[in-house]
Amino acid sequence: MIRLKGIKKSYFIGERELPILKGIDLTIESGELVIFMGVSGSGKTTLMNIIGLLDKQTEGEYFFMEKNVDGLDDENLAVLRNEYIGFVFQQFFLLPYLNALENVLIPIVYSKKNIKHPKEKAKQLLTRFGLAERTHNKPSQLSGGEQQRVAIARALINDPDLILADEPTGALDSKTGNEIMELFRMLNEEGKTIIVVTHDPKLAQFGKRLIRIEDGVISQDITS
Amino acid sequence: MMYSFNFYLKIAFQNLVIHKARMILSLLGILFAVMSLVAFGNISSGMKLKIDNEISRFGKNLIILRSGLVFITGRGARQFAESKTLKLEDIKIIKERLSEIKEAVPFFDTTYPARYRENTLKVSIMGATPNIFTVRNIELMVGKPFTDKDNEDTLKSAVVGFKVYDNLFKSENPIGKYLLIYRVPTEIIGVIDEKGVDFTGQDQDLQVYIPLNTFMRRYSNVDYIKGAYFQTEDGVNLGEIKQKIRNLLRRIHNLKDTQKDDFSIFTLDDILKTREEGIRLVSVLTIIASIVSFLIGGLGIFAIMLLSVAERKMEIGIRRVVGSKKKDIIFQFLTESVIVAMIGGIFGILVGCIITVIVDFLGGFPFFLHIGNIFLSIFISVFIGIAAGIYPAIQGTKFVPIEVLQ
Repeated sequence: MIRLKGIKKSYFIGERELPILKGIDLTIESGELVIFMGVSGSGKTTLMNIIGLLDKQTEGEYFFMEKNVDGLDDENLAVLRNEYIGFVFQQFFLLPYLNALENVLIPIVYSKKNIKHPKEKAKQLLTRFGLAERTHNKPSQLSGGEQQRVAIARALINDPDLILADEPTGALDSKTGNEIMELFRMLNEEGKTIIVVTHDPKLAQFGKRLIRIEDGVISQDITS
Repeated sequence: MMYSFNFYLKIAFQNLVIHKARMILSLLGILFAVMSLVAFGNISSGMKLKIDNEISRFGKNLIILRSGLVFITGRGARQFAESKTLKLEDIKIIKERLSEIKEAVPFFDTTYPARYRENTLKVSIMGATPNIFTVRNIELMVGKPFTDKDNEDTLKSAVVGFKVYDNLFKSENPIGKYLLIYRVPTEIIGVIDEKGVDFTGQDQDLQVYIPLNTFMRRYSNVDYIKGAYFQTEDGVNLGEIKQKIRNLLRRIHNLKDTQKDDFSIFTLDDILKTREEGIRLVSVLTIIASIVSFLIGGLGIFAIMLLSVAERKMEIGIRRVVGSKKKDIIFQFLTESVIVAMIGGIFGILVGCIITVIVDFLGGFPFFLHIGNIFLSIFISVFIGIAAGIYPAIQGTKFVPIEVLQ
């Protein structure tokens, strides 16, 4: 599903080059549950942004779904994101003036997949995540864990193949965080490919595969 | 597509609700612009309709001749200087010489008290030939007009206006009763339908018509008249006839080139023109005010949309992440700015119509909906919404998702 070859990424501050990723080779197959572990500044989020088609490498080749995506422009990348990838963020990023149900439905607006009965599907997802009574609540009326589950429902509404979660438990207490991770494990068992980016070593146990990133390179890649 | 449009509408309205005060301020400009455009269109059309009605009530294709100097204003004709030089014979000659003139109605008008039993009322007496009833569209509620023979026989019969009947007789049948006009008992033979104030500012319902000869011999004993109405055939240039009458009358009166006219000739158009100039001035001012308000309204929406786009970076970011294209973002913000402008426009139309109803009621104009201005207002509102929203919307597409979602 994902093939990275010699990926390098640098930011430029004036004349100075600031290398973030220093040559990443990585393959992730369909159905994996991968944890990217690294301290802040290690480059793990940059790597996730590149994998998630939100950012571009400075050097190297990226094959997504067996297709080289290096030459694609913003608009085409947006189409691929919509079709294949669901995103979950640390701060949830729910729209404050939409209720839970409407937030889940946002990706449908841009979808070309022709999902049948999106509203019912959104309700089912929310019900499954224990939010049946919360569908008409605004984000401000939901707890952190509930908001994150709404965000996960939003990531799933368009039937993506891949879910990318950047510090999904970072804003939650550890109990709620574990529940969210359990949710990812369950989704993975149903066939979704999931990548979770975190700095929290306690989350390592939830993955089938652990990739440690240190200073812009992969320092460890263990499959249990 | 339909689903996404509904979604945009929903988001637009949610934002409107959240930022009520701000949005109301930004749509006020459009509201005022549309309000003045719509109200002015409606009211001026109503005024024109009223003028048209007045003309047809006053009589078609009329030229009015008055002895002495008359000053034309938008409210009618005001006597400026009297003259006793206009004779019945003059009118006959004019009628004979000018084939375009279909009817000529010489008249003598003045104000007398009229008394019935112990009630007295100041009325306008008009001695005229019987054709005045057809030329001036005077229709009777009851009774009959006087005839040429009545005129020849100098019968003391009168056709009275509605208020004369209403004030002096109340519920009594006035036909056959005698009204004391200037102490002359005059038999009432007809009552005129209620007509209101006419074009020249004369209250039609306070008129008493009597045969001209009767008036000149039995009431006033004069050998001159005060004026005449001339009615031409349809399609004749009234201005030309006016000039012909003037030239002819100057010759009859033996006026030298250096002498001024001892009479005045005018048409309803002359009175109309002074009114229309007023309306035109107001219309220019209204258009200027509308344009300024539209510009202010557009700037208001522009500013609010810029603010809104800047505030909603996160929203734009997350939309981009889940797959919206730039055109989706532009379309969404344009939907919002157009909705704000349209709400301003719709309320402008409503307020404009309310103002129309009030002004029409106070001014006695018939209510008229100027559909053209209403459509124009909606069109301009949409246009302003797009023009004011396009730049902020494009700004919105310039955010890079991973930067705004840090």
